[in-house]
Amino acid sequence: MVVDLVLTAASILGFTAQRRARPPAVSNPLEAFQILDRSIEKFVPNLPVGFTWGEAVERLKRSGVKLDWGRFETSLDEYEAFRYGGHQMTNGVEPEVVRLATTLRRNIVGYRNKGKSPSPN
Amino acid sequence: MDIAIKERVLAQIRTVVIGRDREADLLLVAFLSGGHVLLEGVPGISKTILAKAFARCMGLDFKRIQFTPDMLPLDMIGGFVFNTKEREFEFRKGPVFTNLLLADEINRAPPKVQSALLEAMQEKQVTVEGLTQRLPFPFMVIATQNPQEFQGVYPLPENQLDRFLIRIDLPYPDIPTESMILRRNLSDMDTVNIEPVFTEAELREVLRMVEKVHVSDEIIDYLAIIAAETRKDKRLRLGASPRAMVHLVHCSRANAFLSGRDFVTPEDIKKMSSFVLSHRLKLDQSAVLTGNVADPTEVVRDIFTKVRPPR
Repeated sequence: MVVDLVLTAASILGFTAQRRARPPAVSNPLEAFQILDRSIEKFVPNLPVGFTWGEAVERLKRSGVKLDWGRFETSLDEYEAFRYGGHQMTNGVEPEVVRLATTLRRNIVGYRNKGKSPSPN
Repeated sequence: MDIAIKERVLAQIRTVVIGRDREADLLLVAFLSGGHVLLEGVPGISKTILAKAFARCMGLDFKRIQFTPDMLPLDMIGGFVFNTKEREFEFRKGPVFTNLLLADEINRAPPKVQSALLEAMQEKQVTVEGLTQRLPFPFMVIATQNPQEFQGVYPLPENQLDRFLIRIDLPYPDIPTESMILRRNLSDMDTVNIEPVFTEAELREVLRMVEKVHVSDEIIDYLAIIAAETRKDKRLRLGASPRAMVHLVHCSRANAFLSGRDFVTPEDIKKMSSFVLSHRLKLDQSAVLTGNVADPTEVVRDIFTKVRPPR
């Protein structure tokens, strides 16, 4: 009985971890940025509700997240032009945006949103 | 083109003013927004030379008035004098008839002079004995005051402070900047070497482009929430007025334009907020006495951390 419970719990945990590790399925850049927004809110600690994209990017860079930031920022510029300027989005989903969301979900940044500060690197 | 404008202006100003890029950038934002600036700082921290250099690189006519307690409105706006040759009174224009007016130590002038200047700032025209005269285009006032002075000054009331688009606090320079200032030969600090960055036609074109910068409905709603938060905040006796929020939109547009964008982002709003709002907000004295707050800028920052921007 106990063994069954332990095995069930372990498989649930394993399944959850696997789901988190899997890149989210996104069909368009807008969705990718929405997922990223939620991931930042959930997994980056001490970032106030009023954060802007620029502040979040600065924080993540300071935390040492490995990413092709140039490509990410080009995509962010296009997203902002669409979001705030009503411009068309001509490019598809930027893999770096999805990669960042996945990195945060996998907790690769090295911290969870439990009020702890990120490691100073 | 837009980022280039900012760089060209800053490069010209740097030839005479050291370590004041932030302030020069804000002057440019205020100018492109069609507003006026209140510079606060102790004497001798390059307020005048900054204003002069800015006027010169924008290709503007510049005049300075040193405000004193015995000044009259006519000393600033001008008045009628008798022309003995023509045997009639004619209007002689005062120093306010310029493009960029440096109103030095505005809080030393009596309230009548202050309100005459503020009327000119608001209406961009002056009226003397029924004769209304338009001020030149563009017209910008950079007023200075020393916040450390308490004797013989007439502090600007809230409604007059609200007319200033932005307030810039000029701190003392840091040690490396001060060393550079000291090393530099004083004769180098002459604004005559500054080249105008614009022709008048280019200036009009730039101002037209700033007006076209897009502000989305979501950004407008975000601003409305921010305004409501300042009015609800217990630490404030006076929150942001609708005019303050309109000014914040104008400044954010100019900032977006100078960043090479044709749309405003929450980043622009946040960047400009403390310069546009903090001088208009009045702290609640009980909050100050209980040590809850010391500066309106803290409240502005706090509100922006609590309100979710459109992302």
